[in-house]
Amino acid sequence: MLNEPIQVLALFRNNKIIPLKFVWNKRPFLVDTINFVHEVQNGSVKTVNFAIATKTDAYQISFDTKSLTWRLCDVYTPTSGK
Amino acid sequence: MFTPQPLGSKTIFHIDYDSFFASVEQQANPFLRGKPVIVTGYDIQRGIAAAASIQAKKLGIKTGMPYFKAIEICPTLISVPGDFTKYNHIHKKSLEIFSRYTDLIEVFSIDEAFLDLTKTAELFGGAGEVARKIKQDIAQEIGEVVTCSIGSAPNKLLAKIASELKKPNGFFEITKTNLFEVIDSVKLTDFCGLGPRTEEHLNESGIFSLKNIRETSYDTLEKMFGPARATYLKQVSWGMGEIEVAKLEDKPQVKSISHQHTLEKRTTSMRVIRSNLRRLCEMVAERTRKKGLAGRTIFMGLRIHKGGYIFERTTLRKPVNTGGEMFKEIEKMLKKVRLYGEIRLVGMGITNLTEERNIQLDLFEDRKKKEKILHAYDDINNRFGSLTIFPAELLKADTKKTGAFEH
Repeated sequence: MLNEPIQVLALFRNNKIIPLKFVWNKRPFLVDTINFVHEVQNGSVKTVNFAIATKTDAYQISFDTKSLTWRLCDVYTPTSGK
Repeated sequence: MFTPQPLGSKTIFHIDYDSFFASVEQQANPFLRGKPVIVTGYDIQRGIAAAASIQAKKLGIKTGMPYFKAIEICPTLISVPGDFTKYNHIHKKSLEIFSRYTDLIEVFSIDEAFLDLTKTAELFGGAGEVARKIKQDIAQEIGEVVTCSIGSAPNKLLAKIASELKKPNGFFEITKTNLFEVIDSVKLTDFCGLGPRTEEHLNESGIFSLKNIRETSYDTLEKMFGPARATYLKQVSWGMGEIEVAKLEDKPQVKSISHQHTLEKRTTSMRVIRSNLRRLCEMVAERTRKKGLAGRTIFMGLRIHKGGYIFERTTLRKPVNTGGEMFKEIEKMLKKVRLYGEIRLVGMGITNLTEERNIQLDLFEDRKKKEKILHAYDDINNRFGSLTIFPAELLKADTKKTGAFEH
């Protein structure tokens, strides 16, 4: 599982967070679909996890609502899992 | 003597997600869609299929099947470790969706619920329309890959049967008109409370369907099974079942709190077993205190790799709710245990629960001081996450997540 800081361009609208684009290792990725969103509460910190897809790949990114930082958590590939 | 009662006029839904854990993973990861997938524990090779995708089920892979067997059936099978944060999130979201249509919602499990729509279905255009709307809400707010099957009937027994009849993503209604046609064609063991032993016993007497049970006299059934079981069989055969759906806020009282953990490596080392149980004690204690409870009976289970289970329990004179107190009892149990193989799973829990305020003060114990320490301990863990602060004995324990249970 990755846990790398990323930069994200996101829209905050109607109590919803919509990630539009992220930059990882200086490479930009355009978000095409948000497949799944789930929130996790760990102590007083809430993170919002987004399973997103670009035109070719899929990723899980998360937003820490306390530190206001974004991280890339997982890269899904056609052989994800074992 | 048994007299059948007519079916009432209630509208009860049983909503059951299709291949729940697997379809959630397929929703999150588009590369898993349309493929045979199983969801397992963290240790995939030694695990079992906690859930199988619709595609895996079509190949004959069933929930509960060991991984090695499943991979024999389908060498291209994909297994993914379960992520309960996702499943719990959907569970909560689902209850929010269901509550738009009724306030009578009874949670049956993480992926199943009963809804009483008797007074509200017509407001939304009838049972079929409510089912369609719920499915639409789930597709829009959770995802299109996560689907559910809905059964509608005048009671919970029949609603549960109905939800099984058009899987996946179906809706089926059992009414007075189609009642016997439907239930007479369903396998006996598909009904709640009718297991393979009862079926075998019935088959030996030439009873193979609910129709046969209806035609058999109550006295004959009573001779075979006793009065309570005979009455139940008769009720089921006439489609009679429970009609009360509890309100969401009327949660049943928790009877036990437990945790179990599959070890990262199989072991015979008492040091490893001990430290993992110590960690579980801390986790169970934290949850017990969060609920304002304490318990008198502590139990422990060790699963042997090659089969078998060691189970020990002890009941104390007064209730406890700290990890240290629980572990003191676990240690006594461990001293009695004779390991006859490698251990792959450890578990412990507490039952015989009572309100924390009922703990009697001990004349020789400084309870106030203990409470202060516990409050500080819980405050830190509540703020920064479970087990942020922990006893030094836990340094050697596995750090991965464990399964939590509440009954």
